[in-house]
This record gives sequence, C-alpha cells and structure tokens, in this order.
Amino acid sequence: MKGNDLIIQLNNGDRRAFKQVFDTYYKPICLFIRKYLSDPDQSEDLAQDIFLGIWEKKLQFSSIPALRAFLYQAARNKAINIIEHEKVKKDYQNKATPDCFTEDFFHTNYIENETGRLIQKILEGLSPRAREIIYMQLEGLKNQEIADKLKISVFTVKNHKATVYKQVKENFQKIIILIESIIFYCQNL
Amino acid sequence: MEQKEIAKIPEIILKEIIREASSEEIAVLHKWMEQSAENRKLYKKLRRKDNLAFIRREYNSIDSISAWEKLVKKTGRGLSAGRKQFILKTLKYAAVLVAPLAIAIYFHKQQAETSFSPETFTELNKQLSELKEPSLVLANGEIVNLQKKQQEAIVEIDGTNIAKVDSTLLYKSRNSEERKTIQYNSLVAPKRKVYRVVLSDGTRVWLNASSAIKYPTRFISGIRQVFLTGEAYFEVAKDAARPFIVSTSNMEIEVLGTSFNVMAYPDEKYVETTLVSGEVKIKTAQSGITLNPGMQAKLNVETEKLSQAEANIRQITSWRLEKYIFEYEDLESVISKLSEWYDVKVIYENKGKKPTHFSGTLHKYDDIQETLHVIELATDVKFTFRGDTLWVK
Repeated sequence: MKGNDLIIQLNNGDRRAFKQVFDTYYKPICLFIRKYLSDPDQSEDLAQDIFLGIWEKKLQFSSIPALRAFLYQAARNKAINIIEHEKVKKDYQNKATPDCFTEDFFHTNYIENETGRLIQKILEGLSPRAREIIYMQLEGLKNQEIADKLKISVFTVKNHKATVYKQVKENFQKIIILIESIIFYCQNL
Repeated sequence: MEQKEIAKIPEIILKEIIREASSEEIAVLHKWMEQSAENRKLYKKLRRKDNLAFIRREYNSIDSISAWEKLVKKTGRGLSAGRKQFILKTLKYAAVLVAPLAIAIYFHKQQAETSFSPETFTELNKQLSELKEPSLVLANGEIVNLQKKQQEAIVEIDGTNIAKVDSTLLYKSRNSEERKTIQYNSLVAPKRKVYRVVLSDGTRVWLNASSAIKYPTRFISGIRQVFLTGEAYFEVAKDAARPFIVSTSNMEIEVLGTSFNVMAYPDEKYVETTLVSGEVKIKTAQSGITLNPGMQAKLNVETEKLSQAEANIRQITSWRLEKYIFEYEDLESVISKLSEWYDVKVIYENKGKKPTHFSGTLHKYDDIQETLHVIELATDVKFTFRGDTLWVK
C-alpha cells in the first residue's frame, strides 16, 4: 500500500493498513521510548498502548507525516508521564535527567531513531557481502582498501558496489513510499 | 533552524549514505551539524559501522510478532471486525473503481463535515490528552507548540496567515487565490492554560483550560461552523448571511452575532450554554430552545433533558479573567474546579458532612497552598497534602 492509500485505509479501519503501520513503526517507537525509560518491557507496553489507542479510538490522520508526528509525540508524552509519575516513588530509577524533557533531547532522539529505522530498512534486504561493502564505504575506505580487505580485485569491488547501490536504490524506492520524502514538516514532529 | 528542516534530517542522512542527496539537502545537513557539537556527534555515531550493527541488534531484540499478538488480544472486539457498514460499502466501490476515486471519496468525506461527527470530537479529545502545551494543529497534522517563542508567523498550506500575539492567535483571511476546500485547524489549551483565537471572520474565542476547538482557517460556505470540546467564550462577529454554529458532542448552538459561553467538557454531566447578549438557538438530538440574554440552557447528557434558567453571568464567565469567582458555591464544587486547574487528586476524609459553602474571588495563578489557605480561613475545612493527593477534612 502506498502512503496516501495507506492513510485512507487506516482511517477507514482497515486491519491490513493498521498492521502495516504497526510493522513499520512498532520497533522504532519502542527504541525511541527506551531512550526515556530504562525498562525495555515498560517501553514495549507503552508502544503497544499507543498503537492500541490508534485502533480503538479510531484516530484519523491526514497524512503519513501526521501519523508519524503523532506517534513520536505520543511516545514522548507517555514516557514523560511515566517519569513524572515515578518521581514520586522512592525507588525511582529511571534514566530521567532534566535533559530528557527538552525539545533538543526530543529532536536528537527522533533523528537517531528515524535514521536508524531507515538504515535498518535498507540494510535488511542486503546480502552479508553487500552489507560489508556498505559499511566499509561508510567508514570512508577507498576501493583499493576495500579490495585489500576482502582480498578481491578493485574491479570486483567496483562491480559489487554498482550492484549494491542498485539494490539499495531499489529498496530506497520501496521505503520512500513510507517516507513521503519531499515535504515532511512538523513543528513538533 | 526551522523545525521542518530538522524533521527532514533522518531522510537526508540516509540519502547521503546512498549518495542520493541533492546539494540543497546536503546544505541543510551541514546547517544542522553546525548548530551544535551534539549534532555532529550524533551524525558521526549514525554513520559508524558499529552503529549499523548496533541498530540491527536493537531491532532484533524486539519481538514484534508476539507484540502484535498481544495487541490483537487487547482489542476487545478483535481486529478483524469492520468499523462501519457504510465504510465497507465505500471501500468495495473504491476497490473496484481504483485509487483516485477512493481519494476523492476521502476528501469529499472531509469536506462534507458540517454537522455532528463523532470522529471530530474523538480527535479533539485525543489531541487534548496528548498535548501538554498550548498547541495549534494545522490541516496537515503538523503540531505547532504555541508555548515556545515563535518569531515568524505561521502560514497554512492554503496561504492563510496565522499571527501569534501573546496568548492569542489571529487568522487573516486572504481573499486572493480563494480555494474551495476547507482546511481545518485545531487549537488545544491544556490544563491551566487559557488561550484565545480570533477567527478569520473576526469572531473572538476564549478557550478555557483543558479544552480544544476545531475551526476552518477561513469560512467559505453558507455557515460558519466550529467544533468544541471543553469550555469556550465566544464573541461572534455579526454576519447575517452566515450563521455561526458551535457544535459540541451533544449540543449545537446557532447564532448570528452575539456573546455567549459554552461548557461541554467530555466528563461533565451537563452541557451548558450561557447567553451574555444577542440571541442564540440551541439544538440537541431531542429538542431545541431559543435563549434570551442572561439565561442558561442546560443539557443533562444522560437523560437528554434540556432546561433553561437564569444564570450568574459574572461567575460563569469569570474564567476568562483568570480568576475564580464563587458566590455561595458548594465547597465540593469549588474544590473540584480547583483540583482540575491545579491537577491534584482529592480525597474527602469525612464524606457526608453537612455541606459547606464558599464565596470569594480566587486568583488562578496563585500557589495552590495560598488558595487553599484562603478557603481554610473562610470555612471550617482543613486541607493536607500527601504526595500529590489533597485530603479534605
């Protein structure tokens, strides 16, 4: 399902659309909440609550960015609620520092998670060898150095790279549907 | 750095990795990196090889399949149940007549929103529970935090200019490039925050704390309709040709130009409309009345009984002045209002005591302790705080 269709279907209460949203965002939202709370189980429970809320309360969204904005905003609010609530308890052990209430923390956490999500999405479809080449490329290794490390010729490295980038771009086209690349603007994300 | 640029950073980083980023995007990325050492650190971290491996490990540490199963169990009726018959019908047509029509139906559905629509209130209540700062929700879902200092005006996608002055939003309608579609904005006032908005027709709205209102960025059709959950005071600009309608989930108030207060909190037993001047028509599912100034229409949400009585205007509209004015009001009702404002839980130690009343003016921004002290002095109750719970004796 493409972005716009997905939102229409989701708004209409389509289970498959909801599942697709869940599959795309459940893990990133869990990881996002983990930056606020130390308990991974609690983070997962909160994330589930958010998705449950979308379904049960039949929330309507105007676009994918609006949906994503809602998810991150809700995740942050729920996490902060927990932190504030647990402050009252004596055995309070969360990671909470005054920092985690700031916009900057929210932005950093958002960027780290969304980037991680996109990278993960790109990488998951690649072969181990292809992944290895991307890693080395990212580390700034030259073709010759990659060739030396993998004990293959520079020519083969170039060939590999061409194939890998073709694959990556195909993956990218697939996931871009869920990014709605060009305009994604949200004041508070 | 603009928020929308920050929002694009993850995608730009990804594009940069796969060498698909444009020079404009690279420029935005550099701008972001120049902003702080923190940002540069994050960028480096995101591009490190061990981080890529780390991301994979983190993703693998979460079992989304059993999470999905848990989720399905938690939804009482199960996920397979369709929501509404007619939507299924629409979907069937949409499936046959391909996507463009589906989109058309969807937008038509959005535009046709001119009467009671439960989803609107679900959405408003949801925004109210999720947003902790005064916020503006734009037509595309973008959330603008109004608490933060905002140097520039907000511009809606349809070109409407929204200015922010102190705690007031001002909509300026531009007659050029008039569009036919209605764009809705929502204004959300969280606990302890009163906000004001001047709509495109000049109507002034005071939005009480814990309230949200949805309105078009400009009024186009024959009626001016807004949706309210919570409490608001309206000074409606006169426009005999276009009646102004306030819809709440149980009551609809129709006016031509007048001032009135509407209280429609979702958890209250009554929905009340109090008329200060002019004339309003009240409609509910069951009945309707026309109010005269100084009168209040009261709807019992459970019995759907609509009644009217003379009202204490000064007291009812006092929230706008950021004061509470109580005139021989039952103490429990006083405390319930204060607990809502200060967000504390209340426990009565000896319930069933003979009712006490309180009269006086309390300032909303005083410390709760001071406010309670005033009440203690004026009555024979004692207040104690245990944690964030207020005990009343």
